[in-house]
Amino acid sequence: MTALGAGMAGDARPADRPARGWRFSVRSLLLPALGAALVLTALLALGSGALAVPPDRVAMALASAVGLGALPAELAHEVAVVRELRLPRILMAMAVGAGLAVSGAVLQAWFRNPLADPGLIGVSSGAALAAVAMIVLGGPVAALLGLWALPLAAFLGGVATTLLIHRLARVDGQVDVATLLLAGIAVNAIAGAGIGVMTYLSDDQQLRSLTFWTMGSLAAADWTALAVAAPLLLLPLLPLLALGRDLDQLSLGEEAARHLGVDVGRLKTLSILGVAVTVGAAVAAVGPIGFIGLVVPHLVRLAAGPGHRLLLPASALGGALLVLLADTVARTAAVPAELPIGLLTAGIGGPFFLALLLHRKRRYMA
Amino acid sequence: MTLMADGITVARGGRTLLDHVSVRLEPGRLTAILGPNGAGKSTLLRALAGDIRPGRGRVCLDGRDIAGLSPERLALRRAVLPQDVEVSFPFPAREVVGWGARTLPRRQAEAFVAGALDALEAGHLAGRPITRLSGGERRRVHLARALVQVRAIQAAGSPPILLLDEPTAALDPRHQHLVLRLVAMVAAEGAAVMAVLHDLDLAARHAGRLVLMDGGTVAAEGPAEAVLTPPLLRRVYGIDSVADRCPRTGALSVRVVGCVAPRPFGSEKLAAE
Repeated sequence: MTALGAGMAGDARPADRPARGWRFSVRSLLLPALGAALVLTALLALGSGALAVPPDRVAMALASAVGLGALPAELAHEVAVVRELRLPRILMAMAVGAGLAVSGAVLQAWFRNPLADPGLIGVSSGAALAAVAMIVLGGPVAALLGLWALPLAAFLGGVATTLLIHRLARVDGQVDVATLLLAGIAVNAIAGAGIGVMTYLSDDQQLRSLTFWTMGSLAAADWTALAVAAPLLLLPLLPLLALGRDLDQLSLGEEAARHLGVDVGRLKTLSILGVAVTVGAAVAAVGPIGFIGLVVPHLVRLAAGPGHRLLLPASALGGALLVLLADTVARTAAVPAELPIGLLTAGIGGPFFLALLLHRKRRYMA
Repeated sequence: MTLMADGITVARGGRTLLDHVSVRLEPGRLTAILGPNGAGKSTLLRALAGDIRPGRGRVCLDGRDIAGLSPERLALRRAVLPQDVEVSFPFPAREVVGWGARTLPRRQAEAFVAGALDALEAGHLAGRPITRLSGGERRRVHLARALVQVRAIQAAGSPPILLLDEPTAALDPRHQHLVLRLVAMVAAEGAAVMAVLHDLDLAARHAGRLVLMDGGTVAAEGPAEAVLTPPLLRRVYGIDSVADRCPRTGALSVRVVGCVAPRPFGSEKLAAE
C-alpha cells in the first residue's frame, strides 16, 4: 500500500479551495432553497386566479382541509375554490413536474446524453398514443380497469417506446445521439398522426381534445385524478432517487460500470420501469407536457454539478416548481381563458434546447 | 487463486476472433499481451473481464466459471481499464477515481484516490472536469480508478486481478515508463496483472511474462527472451528487430529497425484507361 495510499488524506490544495467552497455552499443550499421556493409559490398560486383570495383566507381554507378551525359561511365559496379546485391542481402540477424532471435526469443518465427528454425522444407521445388508443378502442377493457385504464395504457406505451428508442439508438453498445433524436422525431410524428386519427374516429366526449393530447392541461386535475396519479408519479421516485451512485458510474458506459460492480441489468430494469410508470401516469393525468425533463436537470447540473445523488432530488423539486409556475401562468395570464400549458413549457424549452445545441456545437468546434 | 481462460473461442459476425486460446494469470506477475492489430488481444482481455462470453471454453476465477458470478462479486476480485472510456458528464477527476472504491468507507476511499492520482502524477487534475482533460491525462485518471479498485479489493482481503487494455496509449514516454513501473509494483505486491501493450521494448523491460498473439491464437508465450526473438517477430509482425541487453538494467531490449516494404500507392492505373 505504501506508494499509493500513504499520507494523502490531509493533503491541502489551497488553489482548489475557493472554488470548492463556493460549489459546496451552492450544493448544500440547493435543496432547502428549492423547497422554500416551492412552498412559497404554492401559497401564492392558491390565492391567485379568476377569483383572488387573500392569504389569510387561503390559510383558513388549508386549515379546514386538514380539519382545523370552523369556517364562516360567507367564505364558503372562496374556500371551495381554494380547496376543491386549486389545491388538487397545484399538487398535481407539483407531482407531475417532479416525476417528469426526475424521469428526464434518469433517461439522460441512461442514454448518457443531456439531450434525452421524455418528450423529445418520443416516450411521452408513445404513452399518449397508447392512452388515446385505450379511450377510443379500449371498450370493455377500459371499463373493467376504470380509473386505472389510462395510466396502465400510458405506462405500456411508455415502456414500449423507451425500449424501442433504446434499441434503435444503440450502435455498438453506445448511444448514437443523432439516431436518438431522429428516432425521437419519427416516434413523435407517428404518435402524433395516430393521435390525430383517433381524435377523428372518436366523439369529443370520449377524447377530451386534441390540444390536451398534444400540449397537455391541468384543468381536469381534481382530487380523484390526483388520488390515481400521485402514487404512480411519486412512488417510483423512491427507487429512482436511491440509484444516484449507480447512475453516476453509468456515465462511464455500461461495460465499465459493470467492471466497478454496478448491476447494470437491474439498474436498467428499475430505471426504465420507473421512468415509464412516471411518464405514463403524467401523460394519462395531464397529457404530454414537454421539455420539463430537459430544462430542469440541465439547470441543476449548472448549479450543482453532475452528481446524481443531488441531481435527482433537486430535479424533483425544480420540476415541481417549474410546472407549478407554468400552470399558474397558464390559468391566470388570460383569465377567464386558459393557455395550454404545453405552449408555455415549449416557449421556455424550445429556445433552451436551441441554446443547448449551440453550446455543444461551440464546444466541439473550439 | 487465479484467473484463466481455458480453450476459449470467440466468433463475431462470422469471423473467429479467438481460436482455442488458453491463458493463465498468476498472482505476483505482470503478463504483457502483444500482437499485431486485430490479433485478438482486446477480445481476450474482454473475455477475461467477463464482458463477452466465449462460444466455446470457459473463463474461470478460482476454478469457477465467471459467467455465474455477479458484477458485484467480480468487482471484488478484478479491476479493468478498458481501451476507451468516455465519461458522459463533466464529473471532477477525483470523483471518477473514487468510483473504484464503491465498497470502502469514505475517508479511506479519499486517501486511496489522492494516493493513486499522485502516484500517476495526476494530483493536480483532481478537481478538473474529466471531460476537459487531454487524452493522456484522462488515461491516467482512468488508470488511477482501476488502481483504487485494486486497493479496495485488497482492503476486502482478496488478491486482486488487474486487466489493462493499452494502459500506455496516448501517454508521453516518461508516463509510459511510470505507468508500467507502477503496475509492475502492484504485481510485485501480489496482484495478477495483465496489460495489452504495443511497445515491445516496454513489455520486455517490465513484464515478467509475455504472450504473443497472432490471428486469434497464441503464437508464443514465456519470458521476453523466448518470445521477442527476431525470427518470431518477423513472422508475426513482419518486422526486422534487434534484441540485446540494456546496458543500464541488464533487461532484454528490443529495437524495431525495419519492416516489410510498403506497397507503392497513388500510381494505380484505372481499369478504363
